[in-house]
Amino acid sequence: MNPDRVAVLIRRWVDLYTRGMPRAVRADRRAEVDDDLWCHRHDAITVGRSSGALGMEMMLRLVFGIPGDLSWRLAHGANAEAPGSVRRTSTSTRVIGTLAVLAGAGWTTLMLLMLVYGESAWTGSIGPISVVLVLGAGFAFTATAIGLIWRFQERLHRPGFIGGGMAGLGAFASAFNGAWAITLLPLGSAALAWDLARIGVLSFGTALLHALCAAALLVPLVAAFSADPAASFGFLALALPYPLSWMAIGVSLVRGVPSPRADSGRLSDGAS
Amino acid sequence: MRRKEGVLVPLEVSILEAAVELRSRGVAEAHGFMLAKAMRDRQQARRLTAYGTLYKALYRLERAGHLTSRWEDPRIGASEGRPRRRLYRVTLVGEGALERALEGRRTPTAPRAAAVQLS
Repeated sequence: MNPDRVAVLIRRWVDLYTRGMPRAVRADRRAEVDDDLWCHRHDAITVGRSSGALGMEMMLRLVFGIPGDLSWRLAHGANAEAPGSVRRTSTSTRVIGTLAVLAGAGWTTLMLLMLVYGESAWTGSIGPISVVLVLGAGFAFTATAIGLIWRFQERLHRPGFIGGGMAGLGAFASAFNGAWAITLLPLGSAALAWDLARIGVLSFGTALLHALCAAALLVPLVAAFSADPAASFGFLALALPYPLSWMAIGVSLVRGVPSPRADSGRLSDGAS
Repeated sequence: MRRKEGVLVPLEVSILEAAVELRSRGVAEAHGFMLAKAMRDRQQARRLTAYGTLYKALYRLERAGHLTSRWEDPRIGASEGRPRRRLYRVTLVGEGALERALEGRRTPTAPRAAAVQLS
């Protein structure tokens, strides 16, 4: 394992999990890890370790430290939001939040039906309910994704726009059993949520939770489109947290967007 | 599981022990890698503590007042061709916490050998 490549990976990881933090905090963490990498390499040279062994140890230090990095990041996020900030909202943000809650509730109900009734959730007396839920939730997710892009268009970066677009497309596909296109929904919404966290609309904890739930949803989705679609039912429970995380996002939007008090203009949601 | 405030976990005890030992050898301030290496040597472990685990623990120890840190003069790092360096030093509070943690480990009635309630 090449230590240079692992070092690049580590720096990229540091850049990723410190995204959205104050510049000084990011620079300090980056410098501290850079110094560690430099010392580790010089130590390996001194004791005559092979570059392969060094690269492997760096990789293990990276992987085993990820939970610590994330919890450190979440602790910083919580600290950043609490002091001196108030939650402001607008009618449009409340509407988007409500749509997210409804869409999440729709999918949650649908998945519970599928967990209880299996394939027969689409037939008999329950069939029409399932169809209404899949259509309603699909459209609501689509509207939520588009609404979020529209509402925060001035502050979103490219990943947010692309993610929102993917999520909207995937959600629309989900309403019509759109095969592989449905996977765009979790992939896109994770990117969108992260960008919303970067600009302070969501907490990083919420965005991270949503990304993990999106990753879990991919398992039954991939299984559903694999050679044995019936296998997807075995993984259905993994899909359940995803709509719940959408509901959490919706509730957060309805409550309002954290923003500094009137003396600073950052993060204002155009309160009404 | 959420940990209690004011409780030193084994990793934090190890960091403080390493810092105190380094100080006894004339190194009053140590950077992250130096602490990780001292911990590995003390425990005769095969690997160094992971980045995220180590720096999160250092952050927590500093917030609790067990360590203080300062950034080294960047000119020193530049002259040696390396990045700037953060140096940690054990405080009196940290020494006291370490003593109590070690005492707790030795006390058989302690609820957990590895975690000791401070103050």
